[in-house]
Amino acid sequence: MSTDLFDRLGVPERIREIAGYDLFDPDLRTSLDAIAQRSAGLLEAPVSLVSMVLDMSQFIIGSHGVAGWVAEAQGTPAEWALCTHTVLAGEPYCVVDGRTDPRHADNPFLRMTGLRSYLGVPLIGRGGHALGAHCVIDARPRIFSDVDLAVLNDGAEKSMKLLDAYRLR
Amino acid sequence: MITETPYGLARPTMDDARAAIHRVHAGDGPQVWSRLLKATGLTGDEGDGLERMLAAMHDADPTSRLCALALRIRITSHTQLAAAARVIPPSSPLSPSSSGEML
Repeated sequence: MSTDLFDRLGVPERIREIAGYDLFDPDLRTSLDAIAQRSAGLLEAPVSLVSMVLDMSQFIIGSHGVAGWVAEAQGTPAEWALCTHTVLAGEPYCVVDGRTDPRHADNPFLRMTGLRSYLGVPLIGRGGHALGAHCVIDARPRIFSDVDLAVLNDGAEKSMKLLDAYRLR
Repeated sequence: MITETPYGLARPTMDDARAAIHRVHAGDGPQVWSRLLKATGLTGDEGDGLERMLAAMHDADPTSRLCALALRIRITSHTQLAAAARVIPPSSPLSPSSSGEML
């Protein structure tokens, strides 16, 4: 397993901040699904996610276009998740074509799903940590625009406002 | 013991659970792990105790619950992909990468 990656993601303060939200509330899930659906529609992308990146896995808390084993698991191993890169960077992360990008050409998630391009923005918590990401993933190579980025930033802002209403006391 | 590693993904073990608890609880990790072992009646060396440990982690504090969730996602991913690999080997032209059914 990717111990170094898990240590970078498993910073205790960051994980404690994620644990401060009631991520399992069905109403929260419904609302985050709607945000993902909106971003996917506006960006004409088949897949959109709102997710928290835990120490070893990406946990999908809102989604559009997800099926199969990813839906069954409600996430992916952290080392396969493109949102892991967004969280570690703490800023928007873009993949134009994962099939030719040497950083991602061997990523099993992209190979399995046939997905190729990605744009994600971080979900920044009150403590300043990048907790997760809001993203779109497309099956075609794609150069994303500033307008695309603005749509995702808006979705991320809405997601964090929603999450703030589901903080555990 | 399941030794299959579909797409290089290893099935989590009790050692992975222990490492996760130590990682996210930092200095309190050994104490939290000891409490979990006591709650489950496990020694930590069992090869088949992971399910009981995950249940205890789920019912413990919110941070340990997230560790259990992260491990559960990896276990489910492994189970699903290992099953698919038995039917269609990853190197096959009919693997999920070409069928596009996985997402």
